[in-house]
Amino acid sequence: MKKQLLRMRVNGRDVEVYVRPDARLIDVLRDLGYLSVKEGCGTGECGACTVIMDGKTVLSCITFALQANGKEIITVEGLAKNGKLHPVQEAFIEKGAVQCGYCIPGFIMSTVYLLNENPNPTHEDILDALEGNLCRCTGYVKIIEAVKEAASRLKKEA
Amino acid sequence: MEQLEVHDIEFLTPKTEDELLDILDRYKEKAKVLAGGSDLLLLIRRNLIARPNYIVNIMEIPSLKYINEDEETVRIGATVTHTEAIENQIINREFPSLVKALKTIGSTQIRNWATIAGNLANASPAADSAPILIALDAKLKIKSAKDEKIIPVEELFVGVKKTILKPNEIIKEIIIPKKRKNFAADFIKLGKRNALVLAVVSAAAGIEMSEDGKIKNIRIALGSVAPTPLRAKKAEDVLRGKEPKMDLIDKCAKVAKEESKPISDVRASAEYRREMVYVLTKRVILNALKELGVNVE
Repeated sequence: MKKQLLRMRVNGRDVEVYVRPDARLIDVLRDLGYLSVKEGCGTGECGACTVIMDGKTVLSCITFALQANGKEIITVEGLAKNGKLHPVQEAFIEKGAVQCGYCIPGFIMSTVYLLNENPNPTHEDILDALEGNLCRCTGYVKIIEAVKEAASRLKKEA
Repeated sequence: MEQLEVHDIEFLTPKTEDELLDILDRYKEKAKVLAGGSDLLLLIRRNLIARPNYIVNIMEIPSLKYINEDEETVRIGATVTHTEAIENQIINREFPSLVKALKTIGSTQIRNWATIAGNLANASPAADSAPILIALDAKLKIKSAKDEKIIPVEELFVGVKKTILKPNEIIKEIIIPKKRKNFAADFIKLGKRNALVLAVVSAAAGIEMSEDGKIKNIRIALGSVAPTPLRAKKAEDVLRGKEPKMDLIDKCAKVAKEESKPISDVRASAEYRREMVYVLTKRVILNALKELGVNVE
């Protein structure tokens, strides 16, 4: 199988890599070292592999790598600025929203996307926005508290 | 030692509609159209379809991404995603029931990239956009390199995961007639979790009233209760031309229940599904009538 050129921007860095035409985005990102991107179900149901592509969350386990050609990808590794964690990351830590942690990168990316789109989400908005992310430890109460905390931190920053 | 067969796949990203249709015409069943990708990648990886030689990504064709309107219709291009339609002003103004249905599909991440045309082309019995589009009397423009035709949405489906689409054809656009006077529609999906569930049953109704308080026209469509999305025509006949009275609506919902041919599977038994067809059909009809300001006795 002939590999094909994939050009994308990951966390602000231009990347050129040859990939199998049927490679998944998740595998290519992990091979590049972006290990925050987790594979849970591998079938697009649990949200652990969520990254942001051209401003919108996408499930990297059911996306062909070459679909990202020419696009901009953001993973959890790209959130911290100047050595300081992103307010969403800080809020998850402060609220104790992390148990085993496996689902958290997906929740963080879904939260970043939600707060970009809607800086003042209601409780219901948060439930809707996170419906595609599953936490097997079932730590949803703390996760939702963290999203609310993140929203207020971002507002203070703005 | 067993010789492993090397299967060649090439990922193609045409930039124009003509280029796309040429590729499909040349490679026929060796090519598979890729839109949002959520279905195709899994079908290939689980060997549920023959491995294609060409994966044809249609998402970089600017001329397929549009939502526009004229006096009578709204047209949704092939690569419009669920999120784009949900956020679109025209769609919200004209078809609130479609927005309601689209919001029940997949999850945020899936709606961000999955296309409505792709959900139809994938032809799951649980394709959640189909019942409401059928209730809204939507049509599809099917296009190949040489041909172009327009068909009602319900004629797309021929079986589980099977459509009338030939390998060289695409759904170019979805055409929905604009909100007529005295028209309302509703959609309800019953599932076990909000996100990512396939519907246990879904139902949609579109109702047009005449000036004299009778039902001028009605379309009822059901999801997940037959190999294809199902139009409940006998149930429609119960109400068409009649004044909407509670006993008639009840009879209509019972006929819809008889018309449905559900199976038992992991999600629900056939018996439960039939009962839910009755409940949901009644509910969508009453919701649409309520929106029209019709009092039902």
